[in-house]
Amino acid sequence: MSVVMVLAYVLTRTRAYAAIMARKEIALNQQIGMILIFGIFSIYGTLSGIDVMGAIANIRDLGPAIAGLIGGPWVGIGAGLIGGLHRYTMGGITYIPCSISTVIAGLAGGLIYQYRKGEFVGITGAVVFMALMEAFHMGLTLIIVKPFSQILPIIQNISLPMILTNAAGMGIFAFIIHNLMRERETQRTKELIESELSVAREIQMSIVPKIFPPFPERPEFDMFAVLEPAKEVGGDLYDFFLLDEDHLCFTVGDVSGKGVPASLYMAVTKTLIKAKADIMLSPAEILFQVNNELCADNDSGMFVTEFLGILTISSGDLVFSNGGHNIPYLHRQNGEVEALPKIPGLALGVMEDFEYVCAGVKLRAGDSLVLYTDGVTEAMNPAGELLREQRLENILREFGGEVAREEVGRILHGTRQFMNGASQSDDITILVIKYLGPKQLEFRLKNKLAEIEPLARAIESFAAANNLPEQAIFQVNLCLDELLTNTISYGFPEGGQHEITVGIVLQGGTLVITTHDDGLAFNPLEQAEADVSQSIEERPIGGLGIHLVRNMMDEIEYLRESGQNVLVMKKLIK
Amino acid sequence: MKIKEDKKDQAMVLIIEGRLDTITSKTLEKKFLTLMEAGEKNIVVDFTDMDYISSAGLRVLLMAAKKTAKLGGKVVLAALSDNVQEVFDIAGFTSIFTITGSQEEAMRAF
Repeated sequence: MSVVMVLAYVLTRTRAYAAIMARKEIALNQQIGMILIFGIFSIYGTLSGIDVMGAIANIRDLGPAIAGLIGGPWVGIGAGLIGGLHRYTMGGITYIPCSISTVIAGLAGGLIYQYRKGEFVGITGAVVFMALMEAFHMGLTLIIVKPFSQILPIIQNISLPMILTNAAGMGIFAFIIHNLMRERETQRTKELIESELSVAREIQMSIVPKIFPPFPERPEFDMFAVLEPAKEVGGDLYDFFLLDEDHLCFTVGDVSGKGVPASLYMAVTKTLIKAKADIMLSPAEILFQVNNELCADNDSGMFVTEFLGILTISSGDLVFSNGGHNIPYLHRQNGEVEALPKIPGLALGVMEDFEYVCAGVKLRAGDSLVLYTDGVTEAMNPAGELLREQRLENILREFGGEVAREEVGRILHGTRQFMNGASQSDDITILVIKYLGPKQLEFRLKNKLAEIEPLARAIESFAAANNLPEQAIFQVNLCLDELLTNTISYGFPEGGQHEITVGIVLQGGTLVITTHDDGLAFNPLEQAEADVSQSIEERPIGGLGIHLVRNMMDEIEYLRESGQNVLVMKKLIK
Repeated sequence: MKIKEDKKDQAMVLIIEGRLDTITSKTLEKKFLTLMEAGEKNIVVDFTDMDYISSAGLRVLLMAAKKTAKLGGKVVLAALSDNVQEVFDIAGFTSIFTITGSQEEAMRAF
């Protein structure tokens, strides 16, 4: 019996086996190989047999029968002929029916093979076939061998062991073949599913931006994102792009469902958002349009939760809308963690013409916006507990001040630590946008006093975005007010419209303020110092402006350059 | 900028809201002149809600101080923010004005 197992094992390692399994045509050389193997096995069956009163109880028929079952009639007959001829040469009283039966076993197996179009007959079928085959063998012997009285006792003795041994041998062989077939089938299904999943993953990963930093020429913000697909892709997405010089649009979403359908829906959603996003539209209007597109012809019943924000880079103003997605966190520069205002909104693709709403929040230099999908908050540890928002907040609170890439890394690490080896059931997406504040401001104003206040507003906004101390900004505004008032009031005696440019650059801890105007040459530094010790009666009215500028700025330099007054001032920020 | 008037026994109180710059200080200047023509010589300027002052504003206050002094009265300033206080310090106005922490305190200066 162990030989049967070895044979079955050896067979499964051959290339012919692959062809058998695939129910493909078996190549001629493979057929010959099988004929030889099973022919030799058949001879072995004869040789390992036991002599019973001049007849041999054996498993000679088994080899050709198997060969027929798995290789077709020619293979069966070939193996049968080898075994049969060998038996023929051995003589004995039963040599003729035994030889014939061996060939017939191969032929019969082959016919079954043909009838089943190459599909293996199964364990029971093979065993029944083998038992019947041996019964036929015994019957044939009874008919052919004379005298009947001599052969009858032999058959009486030999038939049961013959039938049982061969059927058992066939059973073992069929069992091994059958199991391997099933295993292979499972393997194939698994490969099929996995190739589908890898397609889904490929779609998903190829469509989200992966080059960081995405806008190296923009020092005002830093961003990083990861999307770690689960084994069964969950359809997460993220994207970001500039709407114009001053507006960054970004989004994070999660498609319902998994696998290829989810990844395709995700691709469609991402494309629609990019197509619809426009500087003229609010985030709510963008979601409205994308939702309607997704609802049209949506028979699949899929939907996608989506958060979409537009950040005004120069001011840090963030406007956002939400379609049923997890509310992002604002990780303030001082380490505080706050969820953005919760606003209502349905997932996209659910209901046509749904009206989304907007909310706003102001980012200051050093603040991070943390967007994520439920793969983070619903990450599960081996005990079956979910990570939940509270733990995410705690993870965020544990650090601060990192660049976006590190912040994402920390969150991912914290999530993995919580999961503690448990398998990831959903995609994990984390997008961190760290607002660093505008590093410079350029403001152009006409030679009108009324334009000084808008300048002050712009500077205040710039300062707020950069967390600049209020006192310093008060002084910068005051000095610019004094200087520009002078220029506007006295620089253009002939009137007409002129443009004055104010540039502010934040260089580390220093604000560098530059003004350009094409008015009359005027160096404010040449004005006499005001005497501030005079009494109320002695104090002249006027001359204070320049005095304030001199005292409030840390450095002032005046240049007359190509017909323009250029004033460069520096203010140290504590 | 907005100016609110509040006539008290000891003085006329002007509550200034917003920015006191080149443009708005002209309004305040007119207000002072009108009040003085009407015989008011004691004036309290409440800066609680004033968040900005430039030299133009200082000039108007100096003018008002000079005029009321001639009439035998005075201008008292109340509730300066830190930023405004610093402008007064740099301009040397701290020594020539009576500056108090609150409007109530300013009333006791007459």
